[in-house]
Amino acid sequence: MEGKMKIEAGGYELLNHTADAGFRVRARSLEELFQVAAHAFYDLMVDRATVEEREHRDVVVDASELDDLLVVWLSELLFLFETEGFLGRSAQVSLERGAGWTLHGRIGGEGLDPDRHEVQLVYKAVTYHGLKVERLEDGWEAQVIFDV
Amino acid sequence: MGARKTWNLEQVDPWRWKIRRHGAMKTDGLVYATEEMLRAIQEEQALEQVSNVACLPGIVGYSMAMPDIHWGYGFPIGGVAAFSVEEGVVSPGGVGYDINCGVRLMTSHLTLKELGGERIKDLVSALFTNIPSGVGSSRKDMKLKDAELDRVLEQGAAWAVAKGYGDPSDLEKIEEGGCIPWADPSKVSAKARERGRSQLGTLGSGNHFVEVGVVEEVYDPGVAEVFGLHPGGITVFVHTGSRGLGHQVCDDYIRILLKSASKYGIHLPDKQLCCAPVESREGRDYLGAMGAAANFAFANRQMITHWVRETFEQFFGTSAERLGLRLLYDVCHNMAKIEEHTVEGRLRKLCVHRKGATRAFAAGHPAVPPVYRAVGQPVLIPGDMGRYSYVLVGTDRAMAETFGSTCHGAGRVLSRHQAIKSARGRSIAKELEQRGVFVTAAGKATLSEEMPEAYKDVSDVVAVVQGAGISRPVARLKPLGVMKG
Repeated sequence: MEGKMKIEAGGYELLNHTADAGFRVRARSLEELFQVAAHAFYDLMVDRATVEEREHRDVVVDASELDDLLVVWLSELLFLFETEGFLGRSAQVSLERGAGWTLHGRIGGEGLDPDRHEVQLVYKAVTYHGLKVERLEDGWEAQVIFDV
Repeated sequence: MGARKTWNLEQVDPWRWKIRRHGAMKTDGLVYATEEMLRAIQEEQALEQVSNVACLPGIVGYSMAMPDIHWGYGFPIGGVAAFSVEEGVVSPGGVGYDINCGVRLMTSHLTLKELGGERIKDLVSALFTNIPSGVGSSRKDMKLKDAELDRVLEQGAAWAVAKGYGDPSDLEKIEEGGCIPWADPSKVSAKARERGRSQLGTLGSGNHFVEVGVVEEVYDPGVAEVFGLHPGGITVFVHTGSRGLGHQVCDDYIRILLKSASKYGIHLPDKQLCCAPVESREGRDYLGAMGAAANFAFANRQMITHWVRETFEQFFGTSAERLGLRLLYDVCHNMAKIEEHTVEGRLRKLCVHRKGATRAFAAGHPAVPPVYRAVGQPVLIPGDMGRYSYVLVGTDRAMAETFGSTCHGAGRVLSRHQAIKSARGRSIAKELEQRGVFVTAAGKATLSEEMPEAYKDVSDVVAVVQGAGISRPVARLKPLGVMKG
């Protein structure tokens, strides 16, 4: 991937990938990393400022590796959108480590309302291509690419 | 992106390039392209992907790429590879997320003069009203229960016809008769079902479309006659696939096969190439689920065809039969199939992956519908929405060289991001209207992402497959009105 980014912890940048869409996230903690990834996920789909926190969804996902956990977490958000039209405004994440990793996520948001939400992009899937979750000296970095 | 490498590339003729076997490759790569195309292809990692596919166990013949090749997940888009059923593998990365994404084309007795002036606009608007499309499109009137969904997954287009969507005679003009017989609905997860339940009979978004066009030029009058293509005749393309259900099947099985690859000792050059032996439990499960998703896509295109016919009936005030609105053919371009091919004089059972590539069987093949068997299988190649599309026919050369496969479309040259950037401040709809094409789209960004310059000129792609002899042009169609998802 080209040049190291200068994103702040708790932020993300978009990747200009040949085929599709993706982003790189940086955070101070693992929890924050998964949280910001969820925010970036929704930002690409819709102007998140137009989404109100009217209801919540609780999800639990697990995976043996952290990078796989990122894929299943974002895939769960995609599933919520496709089956219920649920759009998130904010996400809270806690992680548990056992034999693998378990993520408990609470997403605050509402159902898609075409009068208020203009959906820019819908993902087909979260891919394993170029997938990364890495520890940095002062935090964590992750990268994920979507098939759209 | 990515480092440029000097590939072991060897030009075979003006249309073919060999990637000589190196590293862990088990066979050579073969790319169909002109020198100019190859320069662009080398900018991406697509050639590396052709080489990666050549590393998979049990590959038979070349790891191939069609001239509309571009970067994909695992296999490149435009990738064709066959694996021995006994010793080879099946890979979801060789099919893609949109399982059985495909195209169908209808012909009619209508001509340009019946669609003159503003009439095309009204017709496209009517299609837009009658066919659910766009981001997250779902149907509130039809949410399939499990037992009914099972029947869709088992029967494909035949389910739709039995429900009154279209005519039984449509079925013989669909690849595989519109039904993958080895589909196994029990291998489709609850999640995939949930995603697909309310999406049957929806176009979706992105590059999916319904396009009304006209036959602009006929290259092979004899074959065109058999296909029902006449200069000036109105045609309709439908391009869509298995929607969220197929995406989820791919996603589910990538996760399963990532584990089985290590179980079977398969080294993966790229995670997205995860695979399992064709005859393993995991391999059979994937093929069963993939077949079920493919049947969902066949049913989906069949239902949309029915609404196209209904729209035309309302619009012209007469029956679809009188309008001569017939299905010419329906082809898949994201599939893995178990087929028999002659390799070095021996008939072999192979698992042929075509990802962004179309089956193109020659005259005489039993899988070609009886009405077309004397001339060969129709091959449908949509271009971008501003220029033109092609109808080709399969050849013996394709049978001998590409397991009866050819290109599938134009192939992107600009990423979606780049396209949106370059469309900023322009009205793509107006520009297209000046070229005589009326477009309408559910999503605002879609027209920018899908603008003509985001794609290769499909005539360049067709020139390569024609030059290489792996299919032959029959006719060129020009778009008049396009409904984008």
